[in-house]
This record gives sequence, C-alpha cells and structure tokens, in this order.
Amino acid sequence: MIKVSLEDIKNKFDELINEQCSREEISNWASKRMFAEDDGLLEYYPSEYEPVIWDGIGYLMGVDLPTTDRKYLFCKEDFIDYKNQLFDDESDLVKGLYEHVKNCQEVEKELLEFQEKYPNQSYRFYMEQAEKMMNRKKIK
Amino acid sequence: MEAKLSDYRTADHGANQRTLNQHQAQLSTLTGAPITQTRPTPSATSRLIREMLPSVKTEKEHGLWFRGWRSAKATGSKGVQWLRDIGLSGASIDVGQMGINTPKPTHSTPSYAGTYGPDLPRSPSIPATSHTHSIATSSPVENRGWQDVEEMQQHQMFERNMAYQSPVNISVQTPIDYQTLWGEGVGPEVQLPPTDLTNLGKNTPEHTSSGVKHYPEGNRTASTIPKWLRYFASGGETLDPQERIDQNTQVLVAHAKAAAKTFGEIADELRSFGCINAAFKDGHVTLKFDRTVSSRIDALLDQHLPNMDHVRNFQYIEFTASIANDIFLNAFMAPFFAERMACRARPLANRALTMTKGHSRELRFLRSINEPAYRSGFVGDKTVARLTERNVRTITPTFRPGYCGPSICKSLNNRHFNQAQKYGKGVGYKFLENGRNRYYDIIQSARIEGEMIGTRRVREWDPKAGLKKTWFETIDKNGVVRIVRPERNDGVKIHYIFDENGVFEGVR
Repeated sequence: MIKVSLEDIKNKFDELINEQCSREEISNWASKRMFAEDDGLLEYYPSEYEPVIWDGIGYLMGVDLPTTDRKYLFCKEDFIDYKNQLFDDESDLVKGLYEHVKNCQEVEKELLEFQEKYPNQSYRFYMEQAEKMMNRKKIK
Repeated sequence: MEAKLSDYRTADHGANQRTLNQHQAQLSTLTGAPITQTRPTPSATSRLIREMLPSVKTEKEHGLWFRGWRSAKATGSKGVQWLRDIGLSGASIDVGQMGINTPKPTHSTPSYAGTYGPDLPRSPSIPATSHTHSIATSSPVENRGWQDVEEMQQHQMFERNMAYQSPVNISVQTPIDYQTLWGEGVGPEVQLPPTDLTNLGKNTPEHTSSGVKHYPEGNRTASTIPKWLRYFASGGETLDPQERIDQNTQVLVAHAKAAAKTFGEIADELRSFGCINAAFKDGHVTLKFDRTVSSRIDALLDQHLPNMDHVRNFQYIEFTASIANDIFLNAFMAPFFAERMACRARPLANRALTMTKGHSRELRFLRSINEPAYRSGFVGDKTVARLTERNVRTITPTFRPGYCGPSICKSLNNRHFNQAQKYGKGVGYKFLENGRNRYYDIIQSARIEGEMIGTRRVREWDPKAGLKKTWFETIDKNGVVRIVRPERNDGVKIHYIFDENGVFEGVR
C-alpha cells in the first residue's frame, strides 16, 4: 500500500514551485501513485480529502508536459495559482470536485435502480443509460 | 396402237388418273393387245377414243359419252340423255354398236395389264376360270359393255393376288435369310434382327437378347432387378443398359464425393480435438483420441510404483485421493491458465480445471448437484433422491454470456463510477463503439499564451478485458490534439507530435 496525504501533495507543489525537484521527478512521483490507485494500493489520508488529493496527483502528473513553441507548457505561475485553488476549501475548483463526486454517486444509485427494474440487459445498454443520467446531472 | 400409246407422257392427276386407268383397261380390252406403257394423259386417251369411236367426234362428246356410260342407270344425267339423242342406251352400250371390231381376249394370252407395274412377278400358271372370260371366248366377236370390262379386270386382279406365292418359305424352325428377303439394298453396317426366335415371348432378360447391347458381364446385379421396376425406373421407356449404368454410376459417384467431403471435414474437426482413428463396428462409430501422454504416464506409474492390489480397500483410498487430487491439482494449475494466457482457450481451461470463473463454473456446479453419486458417493440415499429430483434444465445460470446479471452490474458499476469520479471531471465520459469507456478530465489551461492552450488527462477502460490506458492530450487554440503522451508504468515518457491537421509529425 502507498499512503498519500494532503500534506504530501502540498509539499510536492512547494518543491515544484521552489524548483527543489525537477518537473520530471515530480511527474514520475505522481504517476506511481496513479498506477497504485489502479491496482487499489493507494491509501488517502485524510480519506475525506480524497478528491483533492487525487486531483493534485493528476495535476502533478502533467507538469513536465512540453509544447511546440517552448520547453514546458506550464510555468511557475500556473503551479502557484493551481496550488492556491486546490488548498482552498471555498474555491470553485474544490467545490466542483466534491460536486462531481456527489453526482457520480447519485448516478450510480440511479443506475442500480434501473438495473433492478430492467435486469439481464447488455452492459452497453446500461452504460448508455448512465451516460444520459450523468449528462442530466451536469446540465442541472 | 402400242406405238401410239408409247408416245403418251406420264401424268399423275388424282381423279383423272383413275378415269385414265379405266380407259386404259377399256382400250386394252378393245385392242386385245397388252398396254404396258406408262399412264397416258386424259386428253390423249380422249383423242384415242375419238379415233376408235366415230360417233364421238369432239372431246365434249367424248365426255358426254363417258358420263353416260359411267352412270347409265341415272336416266336424268346429261350423258345418258346425250346417248339417247344419238340413239344409244347407256345400259346397253357395247363396242359393237359403236362400230369397233376388236380381237377378243384369249385365255392363253392374257392381254390386260395390271396396275401393279411390269416388275411384279406373275405366275405363268394362272388358271383362267373366270366366267366372264369364258363367255368372252365363246364367240370371237361379241358385244361387250364397259361393265363387263371392269368386272373382268377386277376378277383377274383377284386371281392374280390369290395365286401369288412368296419366294421364301417363312417358318420358325428355319432361320430367316434377310439378305435374300431384303435384297441388296441393305447396307453392311445395318444390324440384322435376331434370327433365332426360339426364345421369342419367353420374357427373356434384355441382356441375353440378341440385338441389344450386352452388359459387360453376364450376371450383373441389374439383371436381378425386376423388369417392372426397371421399366418404371426408366420412365416407361427402355433405355440402353450401358447408358443406364453410366447414369447410375455418375449419380453414385457424385453422392459419394459429396459424402466423402463432408466426412473429411468432420474428420478434420475431430482431429483438431485429438482424434487419431475411427472404427465402424456393429453400427457404431468408435473414435480413438490421442492419449499418448496419459498412456505413458500410466505406464510409468505401473512400472515404478509398487503394486497395492494386496492391500484391502485400496480402491476406496485411491478414489478418495483422486477427488482430493482434482481439487488441489486444479488449484495448482489454474494460475498457469490466467486470463491473458489462455485467450480463446480460456473456457476450455475453465472447464478442464474447474476454475471458479464464468459460465463453466455454474454449469459444473449444477452438474455436481444433479450427479452427486458421481461426485462423491458419500451422501445418503435421501440426499441422492432429493438432489436427483432437480433438473438442470429448470435451473438457469444467472450469468449469460453477453448479458449483465446483477452481481456483474454491481461490479462493473463500481469500477465505472470509480473511474468516472477520478478521470471524468471534464466533459464526462463516452461509451465507445468498441465497448470501451473513455473518461475526459478538466483541461488545465496554461497561463503563457502560445500555440497550445492547455492539456487534459484521458482514461480509457475496456470492461471486457479489464485493461486501462491513460494519456495526456495537449490541445491547441483550434481544439486540435497536437501532443499525446501515454502514461507508462516504467517511467518512460514519449510525446507524439501532430500538426494542425492531425497528421503525425514525429516523436519527442
């Protein structure tokens, strides 16, 4: 198991901003957490901050992305700005993260009811229904 | 007279011809000389009669005379009327009254010629027994009417026909000489009819009849087929036996080829399952499968392991051990047939190893319920009776391939919404045509203005295979994906660069 905390994410952002670590190293660090998540080996601490921690991992994964007209796509100001949003509970970013999680949970519940109502259908049929439900949530 | 008649050209004019024949017979009677020439024309005959009958001067008078003679009894006819006018009676017309003195026909020299032609054989010993003729010979000059001439002619024809004798004596006992019968006109290739008629009408098989093409050998199967059946099979028409054989053979060969082809396909399919031999005995097909490896193992065991037959109840111990071995060996072998290794053979591996996966698991489970005696043999009679009442058909598996049962749904939903939460914060997710799900994250925009405006993370998940892919897409101002970087577990980062039109440019 790999334990990742909110503090770890904050430290990585600091290292990135202060250039204590290279972008590639931080990206690799984040990539390892992502693959650990796929294997179910990632543990979030505190668990209620899981959406924030995961979003921080996702952002850190792409900090070393190049572009065509310069070396890196993101600059230092981008990192500072994102860090401020991510660690501010009242920011739109964090609110949006939690709202998305809530939407997913509601759609999952709806889909389960739908599957009980219409059993033994193909998986494709269920997924199309879930897509419609999710779009309805986002429009709201 | 003969000289004049020889000048007449031949003619063939139906009714006129019949009239001409009568005239010719009449003239031959009048002249007493045989008329052997070909048929004269009616006008020539009429001219001849005019010469012989002075009272008949013109052709019209000749016609009236002839009609009066022909229909003498019909008093109202023009011909009879004309004869009366000139002083003649149709019923009593004779040659003498017309002033014609002709030599009488004699018995020894028949002066009339038949209508059969000169090549017809005539017997010289034809008896002249005709009453008319004897009357005619009684007086040298006798008035004879046309009716008498006709009667005499018919009588002589009758006598000639009755006196005719065949040149060949046809009898059953003596073979027929067809060369003699047919003459020289028959070609040498023509096959003659059978000369031996002793078996005629005896319902002989056709292959023994002469003149019919023979079978290659004497007693063939075809000869034992009832004749009515052969007749019926041939559609009521007799068919050349060789042709019949050819037809039957080609049908047989065609069917045999098709059957052999099908059998070959089946054999190939069986061989793919390890079938090495097949035997047909007592109406049953016995297939032999390749058991080389298992046979060798059995031989090795017999060779190296001690014989335990002397141990009491060893068979029960062996039976118990085989069940336990099934369980433990399966558990040991199962990891070697992992999902990705077994590929298409996975269902087969599942069934062979009793893996706790998929459809085969449920089927084996149901089978074990319904066949408890085969599985263990340790249950009681009541249990066996209770379990055997259950029918496999009444128990439907909960999982159908291609369909999603409740447990599967729950599992898939869990994984789907987990990824939707983590990767689908942007435009959400798309269900692709190939059955995969694609999740799009939020686009992280860059502060510095340039060709690219930002990047986003994309996740693709294949529910069937359970495979996942993650990559970053860098997007330009037009919303075109220009740089793609797949995420790899080994830390290697390769950037695939595309131009504005989406054409691959290179790797960075």
